[in-house]
Amino acid sequence: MAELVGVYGSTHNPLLWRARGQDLDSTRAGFDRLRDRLARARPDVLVVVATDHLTQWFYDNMPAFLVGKAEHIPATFWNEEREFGLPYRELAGDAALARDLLGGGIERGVDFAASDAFRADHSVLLPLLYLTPELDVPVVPVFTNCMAPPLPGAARFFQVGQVLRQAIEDSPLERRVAVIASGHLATEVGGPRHFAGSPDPGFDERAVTWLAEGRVDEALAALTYDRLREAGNVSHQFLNFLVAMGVADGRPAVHAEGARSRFATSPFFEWEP
Amino acid sequence: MSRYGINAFLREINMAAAAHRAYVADPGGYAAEWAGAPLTPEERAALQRRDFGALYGFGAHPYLLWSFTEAVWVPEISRAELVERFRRESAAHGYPDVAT
Repeated sequence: MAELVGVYGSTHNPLLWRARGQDLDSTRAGFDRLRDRLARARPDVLVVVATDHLTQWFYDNMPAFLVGKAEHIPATFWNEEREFGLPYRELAGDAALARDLLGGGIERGVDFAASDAFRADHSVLLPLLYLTPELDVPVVPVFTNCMAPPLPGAARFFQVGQVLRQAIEDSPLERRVAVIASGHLATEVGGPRHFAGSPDPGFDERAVTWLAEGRVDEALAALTYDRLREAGNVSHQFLNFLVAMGVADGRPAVHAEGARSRFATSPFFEWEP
Repeated sequence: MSRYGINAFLREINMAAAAHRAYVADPGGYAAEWAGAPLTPEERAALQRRDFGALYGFGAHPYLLWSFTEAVWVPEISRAELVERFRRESAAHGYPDVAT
């Protein structure tokens, strides 16, 4: 049977990739810590919960939640190489586990869409470049729509996490599975408050506390579309951490921090499996 | 209002190197001819002018719009100056609805 061996949350801010400076020390330390913890968990496969940036998934065909069943996953698009200096990489998928997640979700009322031709953007690749730099652990990407409103509600993100856990634990495959949620705290891009550190430090502090203390009800009640937009126009990717919180059955995180830098406050979370 | 058309245009310029080259060489001509999705005359005119402030006001998706703005204005305007100008011009519109 598949076994859940770790649950994590990470930033995927692409500006970090070629940035230098002492203000990034705590962000680097956040990645280093998660990399060590993940290595100790010895996963065979990573389920990466992430939102692409209208790259593969666009308004012509926008799923709410989707499982990537591809065996080979190209990662990053031309514009991300141009804009962020990110490399192009090819990741191995795990179609067998992906099928079990898809089927396990559908059995439990989460009708995932599915793709056999998944292409990942930096929301998947950036955390992996830091957490598994050799890119030698296969990936099952789970796309979530945090980008094109109307978005699924906060409670649905949490529930999808609970269902993912059950689907992983029900899979007959011999796999050690780690889940990594990829997201942001308060973030603005393309708006009046962009590129000047966190647009809402108060939100960041409360959000980290919800996860650190396992305050599920408080988080679900607070995280409306409008409240997230008030925190910054693209803060909705915080919802991916609710998926991780659901995978961890709402228990308090064993590690929760927001690392400040000139770009934003970068989230790093870890839950016991 | 045809936010879908604006977003489809921005995405094409962002993601396709050939489209990016052609648009940067002749924004007015490229946007005049573009037939990927319906646009209102005002939207098309804003795309012809590379007018990111107006596009923001129409409710273009902020991710697509910033990537586009950076891709078609730098190095003509330095990134630092563009970040600042974008702040100013978007602030004039607040936070428009971006739903398509």
